[in-house]
Amino acid sequence: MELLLVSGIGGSGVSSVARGLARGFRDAGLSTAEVNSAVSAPVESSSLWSDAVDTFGAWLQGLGAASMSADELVGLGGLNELITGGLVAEAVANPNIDVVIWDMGSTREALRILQLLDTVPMLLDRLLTGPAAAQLSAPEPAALIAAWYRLVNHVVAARDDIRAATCVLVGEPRDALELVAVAGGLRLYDCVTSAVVLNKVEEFDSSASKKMSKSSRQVAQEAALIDQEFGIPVVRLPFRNIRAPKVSKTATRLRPLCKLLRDLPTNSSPGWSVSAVKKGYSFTFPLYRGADVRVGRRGDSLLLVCDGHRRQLELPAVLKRCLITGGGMKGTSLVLGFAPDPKVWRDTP
Amino acid sequence: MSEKPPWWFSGDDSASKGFDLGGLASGAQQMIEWARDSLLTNHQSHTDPAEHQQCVLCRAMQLFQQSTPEPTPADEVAFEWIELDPPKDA
Repeated sequence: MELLLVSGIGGSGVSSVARGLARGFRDAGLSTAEVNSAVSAPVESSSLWSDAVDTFGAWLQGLGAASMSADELVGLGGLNELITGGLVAEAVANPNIDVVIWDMGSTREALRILQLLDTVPMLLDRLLTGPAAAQLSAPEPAALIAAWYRLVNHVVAARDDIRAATCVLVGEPRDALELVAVAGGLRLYDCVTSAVVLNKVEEFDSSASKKMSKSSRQVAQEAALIDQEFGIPVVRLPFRNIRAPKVSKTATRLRPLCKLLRDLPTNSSPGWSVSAVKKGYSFTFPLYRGADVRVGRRGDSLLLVCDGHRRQLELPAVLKRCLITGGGMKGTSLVLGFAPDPKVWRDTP
Repeated sequence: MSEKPPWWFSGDDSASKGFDLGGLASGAQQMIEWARDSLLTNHQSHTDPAEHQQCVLCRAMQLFQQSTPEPTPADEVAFEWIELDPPKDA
C-alpha cells in the first residue's frame, strides 16, 4: 500500500482516524506523509500552483478577459483540490515516503474530488488541442505549454494513484447504510474500500450485563451488513463520550488495522471486467446493491452515472466493435450485455 | 465661377475631374508588392499556423478554420442513453 484515502460521514471523526492511522504507521517505523484536503496552506507554495496560475491566466487572457493575479485564483472551485491531488501524486512518487495518507474529509467531498480528477485530464487535453488553444497568449508559449503539461501529468498521476489506492471509510454505527452506498460509489472510480471504522461505538462489557443494549445490537447488525456487502473488516472505536480522543489512544486502537492495511497488496486491476458469453460479451462493473445507475454511450466511450456521480470510461478494444444489447443492476454489480456489431465485424467462415 | 474642390480633396485637380483610376491602380500595386515582400515571403516557411501567431496570414488561416469546422457526426455530440432492466438479485 502506498496511498491510503480516508473519508467518511462528516462529523464522525474522519480526521481523528486519519491522524490515528498516520501515528500507527509511524510507530511501525514507516515514513508517513499526511495530506488534508481542507488545508490549503501548502498548495499555494507549490510549483504546481504557479503552473496553474500561469496556464489559467493565459487562458483567460486568450479569451479576452483581463489578466488575473494569483490571489484571485485562490478560491476558484476545484483548483485547490487539483493541486492537492498533484501534491499527493508527488508524495506517492517520492521514494523516501512509505505511506501517504490523504484525509479527504466527508464522503461527499471525496466523491467530488474523485470525479474532478477523473474529468479534468480529459478536459485539459481537449482545451490544449482544441481550436481555442490558438488564442492562448503568453510571452513564452513553449514555457506555458510545458507548465500546462506538468499540471495535466500531475492530475493524471493523482487519478491513477487513487485507482491503486486503499480506502478506509469512517462513520458512526447509524451511518452503516450510507457507508455501504459510499463504498459502492467509490467503486465508480476504481477506488476499493478495504476497511470501515465505526467511531463513537458504545462499549459493551459482556461481564457487566448479559443483555446487549439496543444500540449495541444495532452496531452488531450494521457491522454485519457491511461485512455481508463487502466482506471487509469493521473496526469499532469506543470513543462515544470523548469529544477529541488523544491521537495515541486512537493509534493504539487502530494498530491491528494498520498492520492489515500495511500488508495489503496494491490494487492493480480495474474494478470492472469483461467476459465472453454465448452471444457476445458481458461487462461487469461492481457498485452496490440498490445503486441508482444510468448508462450512456458515445462512440467508444461509456458514461456511467451512479447516484449522480459520473465517470466516462473508454471501452476495452473488443467492446468498441459491439453494440449494447441491454443490462442493469444484478446484485451489487452493473452488468451490460454486448453483441458484435454486424457493421464492423467480419463474417466468420 | 470656378467650382471649389470638396473639403476632403487635397490633391492636384488638374489631371482629372473624377477619380484618379491610375493613382488607385498604382496604390493597389504598391500594396500587393508590400504584401508579397513582408507577408508572403515570411509566411512561406510557416508549416504550422498555430506556431506563428505574429503572422497575419497564419492567424487568418486559423480564424478561417475555426469558423468553418468539420461537421460533427450527430452521435459524437451527445451520449445515447441505454434503457436498463429493473434490478435483479445476483
